[in-house]
Amino acid sequence: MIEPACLRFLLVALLLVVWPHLFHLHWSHVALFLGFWAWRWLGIARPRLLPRGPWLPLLTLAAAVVVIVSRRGAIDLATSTGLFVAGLGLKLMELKRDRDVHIVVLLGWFVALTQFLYDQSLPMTLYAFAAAALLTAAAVRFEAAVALGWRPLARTVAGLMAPALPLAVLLFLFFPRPQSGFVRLPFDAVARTGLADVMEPGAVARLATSSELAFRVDFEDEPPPPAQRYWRAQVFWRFDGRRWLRHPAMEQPRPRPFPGQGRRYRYWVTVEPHHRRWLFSLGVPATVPAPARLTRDGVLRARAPVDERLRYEVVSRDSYRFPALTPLARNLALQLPGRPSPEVVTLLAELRRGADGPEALAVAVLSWFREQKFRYTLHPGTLGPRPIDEFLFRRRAGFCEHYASAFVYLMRAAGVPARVVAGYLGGFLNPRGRFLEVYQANAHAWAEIWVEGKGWVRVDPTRAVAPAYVEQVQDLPDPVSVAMPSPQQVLEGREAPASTPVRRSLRSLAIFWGDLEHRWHRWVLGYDRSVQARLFAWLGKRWPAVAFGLAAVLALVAFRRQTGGRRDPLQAAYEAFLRRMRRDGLVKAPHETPLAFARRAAARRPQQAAGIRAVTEAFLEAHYGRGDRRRAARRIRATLRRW
Amino acid sequence: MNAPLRLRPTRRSSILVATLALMWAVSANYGNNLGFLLTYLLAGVAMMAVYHSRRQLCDLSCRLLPPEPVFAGERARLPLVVENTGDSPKWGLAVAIGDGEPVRFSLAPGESRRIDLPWPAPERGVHRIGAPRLWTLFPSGWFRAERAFEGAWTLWVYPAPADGPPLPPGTTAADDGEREFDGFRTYRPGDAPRQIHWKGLAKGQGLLTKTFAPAAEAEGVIFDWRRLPPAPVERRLGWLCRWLLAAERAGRHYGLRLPTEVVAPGSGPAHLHACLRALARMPGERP
Repeated sequence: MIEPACLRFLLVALLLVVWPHLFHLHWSHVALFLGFWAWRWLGIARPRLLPRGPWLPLLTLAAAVVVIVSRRGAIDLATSTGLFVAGLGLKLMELKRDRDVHIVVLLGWFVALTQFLYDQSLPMTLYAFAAAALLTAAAVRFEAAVALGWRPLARTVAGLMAPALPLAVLLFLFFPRPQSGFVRLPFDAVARTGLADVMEPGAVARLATSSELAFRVDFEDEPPPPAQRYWRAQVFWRFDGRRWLRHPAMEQPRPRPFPGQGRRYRYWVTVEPHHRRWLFSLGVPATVPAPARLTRDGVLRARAPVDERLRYEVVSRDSYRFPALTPLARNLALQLPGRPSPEVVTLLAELRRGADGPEALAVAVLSWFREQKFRYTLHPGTLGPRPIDEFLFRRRAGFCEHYASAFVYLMRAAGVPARVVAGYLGGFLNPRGRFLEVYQANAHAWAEIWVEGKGWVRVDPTRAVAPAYVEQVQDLPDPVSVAMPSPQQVLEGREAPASTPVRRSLRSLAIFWGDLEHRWHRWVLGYDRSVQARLFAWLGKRWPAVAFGLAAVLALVAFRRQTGGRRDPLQAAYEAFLRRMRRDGLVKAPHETPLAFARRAAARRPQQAAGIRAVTEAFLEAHYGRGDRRRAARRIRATLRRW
Repeated sequence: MNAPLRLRPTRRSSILVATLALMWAVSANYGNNLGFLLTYLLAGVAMMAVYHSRRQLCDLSCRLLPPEPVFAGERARLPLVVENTGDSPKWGLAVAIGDGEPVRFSLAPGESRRIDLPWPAPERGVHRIGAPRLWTLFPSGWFRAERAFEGAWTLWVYPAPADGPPLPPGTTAADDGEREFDGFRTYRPGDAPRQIHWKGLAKGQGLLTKTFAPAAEAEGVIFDWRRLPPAPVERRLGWLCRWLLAAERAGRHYGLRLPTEVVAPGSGPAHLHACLRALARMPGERP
């Protein structure tokens, strides 16, 4: 029979352990657990309500069916975690003996671990460790045989966990690590914010208000100027009149990177898991990191979906020498979904007048955008059956993907090879860590046109329409703002809220947090076999120093234990009294007995005589007589406080 | 007095080992560093639990107190005092004799507690019962620290009173008033005021008690083993036991004659216990 108070404590601890799974798992799995949990909670007061006999296997079967059906039979991580969570709930139904309590507590530890498969952020880590501490407390409370008060419970748990933490860190650093995974259950394709596979109107705009982090970048030297922080991830070739699609031929790996020239940027990108294969590089990459390959259209693709935070090193150059366009690439870069409408043909004829070459034409198109008062908005409304014409000649309002799409369409219609590029623009330069934080809100689409002799040249039509917005986005989002300001706000100059002290401190807090989180990712989450090997090598070279340091620490600990480890409380209290007297100018001579000193002190400080006598009497009585040392020490300290 | 401490994992710690292995395998499989950290934290907690389990049984002293005698078939209570001489509380202690029912308790710093361990006493005789085992599963339940103390209890188990022949009448009733003065001894608590030598007290000789020679043997009743009707030894001992209790209750003067020993007539609790002890140590029937 388990004591109800212990049981309630355990149930609360388990609830807190399972809680974060609400954000990762199918709702029905967590609902199963919560249902069992609530059932068990009611069963504490009314044990007759709990299922018995044949009900348990039936419930088990039902729970398994619910989990598997809700996942449509997929054998992946979410299903197995769901089974575990539901199983933990089921185990609560038969919580009778001591052994069951232990099983449940240890299952709780395991469930706390599974949540790291989904979320490894610093707050979640602290939460999970706190939940583990609570589980430990539940187990300790259960073993104590008496109702343990909060204070002794906290002290016992601290006594268990505080020394366990350095042990865990040592094991973490030095315990051998296996080469790689054995069986990896696939991650389910959770709908995550991030770049989509195809680009259609509204695809990027949807991200524009997301404050989720996409990736962080550490630069070897100074980061490039804001106007050059274009992070390429996708290249779209085929246009079906509405959506832009990638082309498999252009996704073929390219054996060697493009030869680059000009300024060199070396940087490290830490990508948040997005479960796709996009990787990001500043413009076209000049090197290819190990976990990626380079496509023919010059973007990086991960070799496996990015299910965990990934860090890779890339070098980018200012400009590149691109090889001549292949006939296939030229065809693709000129592909149009159908004949351009007469309106487009007229417009292009007008724009081409006086424009010599593709670059001049691009400039003409951009100035046409500007002159015709195209508006930049997140909510352009849905476009009809001919989106390009509708956008160019009637709506004249849109987000970056509308502009990129219309611009590439016009260039292609004019015979200039062009393609749409999607990725991110800008990023927030964290002033503490000097790294760039790129958020989903930085998602952007732009264009590249083929110029004979120069190769692919970047053109950002959005820059022509809403220069203020692009300037703004280069240093956005401000980590304090939950969502990006809307383009209207930016254009109307409302983007800069008044700088209040609260806002300023929030901002510096956010900057500090971003820095801390990045370090966390780099140093804790990035620790792996290779870093461990480096650590061993480092220690191996310095082993005499390490051994000496270790011996010194051990000797110090042993020495402290021998001497100062457990001081006599009475002696300590009396010394506190002597220190107080010294501050008053009365020093006890080494040869002086406590009694003689008290007499001398009382004579010099008549107003303190009573206190001096009380302290001395308490000390002598406990030290030489039969008094309790601890109690006497307390009395001396109380007297000193009332001095 | 304190035997060495033994520490061993409980059967439940196999669940711990299985969980640790599972957690490590999942962390390794996904290369999850926080998973590793949590796994090692659990391992660290287990290591610390070993240390804390040991510490739970340090600074404890155990003293066995003489137990009250019982009649056969009753449950004896074996008293002991456990004292926490350390300055940290001891939780979740359990103490038991052999595989008997454990008594669970906790001790605050400096606290000492008397515990009566139940012990079924089915057979009469003098039993020597070895000191109990003291153990704890605190704080984790994964390790069991155990310590067996030295020393033993001596427990007298008297034969159970049994129905049988009625109490034989005494030859004469004992009469306190006519007993012969024997001498003085120093006062002991419990002596009747009538026996106190008040005159001596007035003379400043201190408290003395007058003692009287036991009345002549003929005045008390002697329960004689040989005169009992034939029956098994244990049955006859049960009759004698009942007679002794009845005689004591009636305030009579009684003695006992067994094949092995003789107890001179007398009365009072001490005399009763002396007689009952004689019954308890009487050798059993030889097969």
